[in-house]
Amino acid sequence: MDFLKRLRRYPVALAAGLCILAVVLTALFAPVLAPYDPDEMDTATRFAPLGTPSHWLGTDEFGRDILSRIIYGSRVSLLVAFAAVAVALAVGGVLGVLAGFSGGMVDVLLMRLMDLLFAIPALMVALGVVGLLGPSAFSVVVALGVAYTPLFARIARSAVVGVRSAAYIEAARAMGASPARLIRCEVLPNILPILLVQVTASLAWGILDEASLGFLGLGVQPPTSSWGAMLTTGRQYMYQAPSIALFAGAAVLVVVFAFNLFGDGLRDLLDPRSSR
Amino acid sequence: MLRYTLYRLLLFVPLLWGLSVVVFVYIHLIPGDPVQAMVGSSASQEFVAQLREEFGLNRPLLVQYVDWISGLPAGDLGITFRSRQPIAPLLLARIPATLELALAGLLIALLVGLPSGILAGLFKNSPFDHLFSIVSLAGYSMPLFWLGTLLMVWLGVNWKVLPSQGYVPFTQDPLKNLQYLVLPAFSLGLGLGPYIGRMARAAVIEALQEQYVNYAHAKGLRMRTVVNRYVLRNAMISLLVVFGLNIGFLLSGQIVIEELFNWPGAGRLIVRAVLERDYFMIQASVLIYASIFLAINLLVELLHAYLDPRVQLK
Repeated sequence: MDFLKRLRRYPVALAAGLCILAVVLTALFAPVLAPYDPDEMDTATRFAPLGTPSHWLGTDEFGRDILSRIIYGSRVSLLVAFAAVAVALAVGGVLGVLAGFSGGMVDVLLMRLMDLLFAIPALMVALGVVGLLGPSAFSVVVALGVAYTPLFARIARSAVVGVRSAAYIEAARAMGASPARLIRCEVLPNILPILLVQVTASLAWGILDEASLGFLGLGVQPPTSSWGAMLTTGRQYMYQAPSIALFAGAAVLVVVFAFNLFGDGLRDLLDPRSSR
Repeated sequence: MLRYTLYRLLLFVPLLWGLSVVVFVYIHLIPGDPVQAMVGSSASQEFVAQLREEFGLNRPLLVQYVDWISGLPAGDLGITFRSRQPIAPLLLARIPATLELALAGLLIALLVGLPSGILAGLFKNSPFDHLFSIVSLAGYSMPLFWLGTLLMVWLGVNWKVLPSQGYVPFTQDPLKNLQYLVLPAFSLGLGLGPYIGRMARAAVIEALQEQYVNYAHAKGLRMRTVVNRYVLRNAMISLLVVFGLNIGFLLSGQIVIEELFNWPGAGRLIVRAVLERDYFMIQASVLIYASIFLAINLLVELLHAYLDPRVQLK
């Protein structure tokens, strides 16, 4: 509750948060909100232009309703981004906390491995993983999860190192808390805000990268609608139906923009020192 | 400086070695058999065994690794799975186009990002700064290929001002080459520019808060002198470091832009390799891309140490 009260002092972040909420609700209630079945083909109305009364955003090369496909596409984008970030947070967070808390050889080995993974550009890691597993939503989740893991490991580690020698940790240890309890009750609550900011920023990348992979033909495969895949087909039919690529791209832009704004606001809110 | 350079170069060797291990292990992570995955499940067992023999995949892992890595210094990256061509010349042939696009994109990004970011940082909380923050964040949130698609459709297809897709080598027709370069370079540059602008703004703001800036002001130096001599110099150093770490952004963006504009660079080669599941090609290109990334970072670190001698002492 306190958090929500404080959030009200950041109107831009609040608006961005509401926008994200709206997109999440759209994804959840896609079957109710979408005017048509996204895969329903109607060859009689191929390439209906923008503003057609029965199809506001027009139709694509198979006569499928573009608005419905964008609404359903939000499910893929959000699901993939959330799942990928969850994987990265879980794996990277655990590795980072482990490295930071234990120090010594474990720390050195884990972090050098993360440095190596970090050296490979995220999209390259993702391309490698998709190459390994074949293109599908699952591969994209694994690919982006692997690609973002080193970043979470680094952030978690440095956050843990920052609080490791704090007086309250010392006190808890003196009172006989086990390492597991120390991590759960003292370390995690204190590094959570830092991780949370990273989660929001990573969600923005997750959506962008999912779209990039989809655009390269390596994401979710047709006929499932995803924003990235719509941009690819939209490019082929730019003459006949410019609205396919235009609105799919706009959807990505709006959601990523909202996540970035929200992340910025969250950072200021959780760490007033960083507000500039 | 010489000692520091040697030290960094020495550290670079184990780093490259570690990278080769990671990339090598990657191909053997495939559940089951890489050859089976490449040819599909319908292929006969004899055929798979024959291919494993041909590519030496039936030997012990360590032997395979030693064989692979001993070829690397001589520039032998192996052969592709589909066409049995040597990989190194294939990649090498793509380098000029990739490099041309990367440099042109970077130049445009710097021209767009640096001045606007520096101004926003110097005039923090001014209307320009607020406008900059919104526009740059929006630009940063935009899928690169969407911007590229829009530019391509408007300028290339509808108005026919510029060729929309393709490539002509510079050596063949310099003017045509540049015409083909404009759209992809702007797509890449305008996508990367907001990113550089945001980093520049943060670097300038950080530099403005330093003690030496207060001191320079107290000494009675003019604002212009303080900014030119102290703020910008120091801001550029930290910008350089952040930029080095984020060069992956440029490399990734380039892959997508090459695909969009049919630009015959290394990025398209990699995407095709992934689509064809040519693991040898993927392995080689991931190794090369990551090595380039590490090399650029080494260069940035050395440059950083040269510009800021305090770094060498750490």
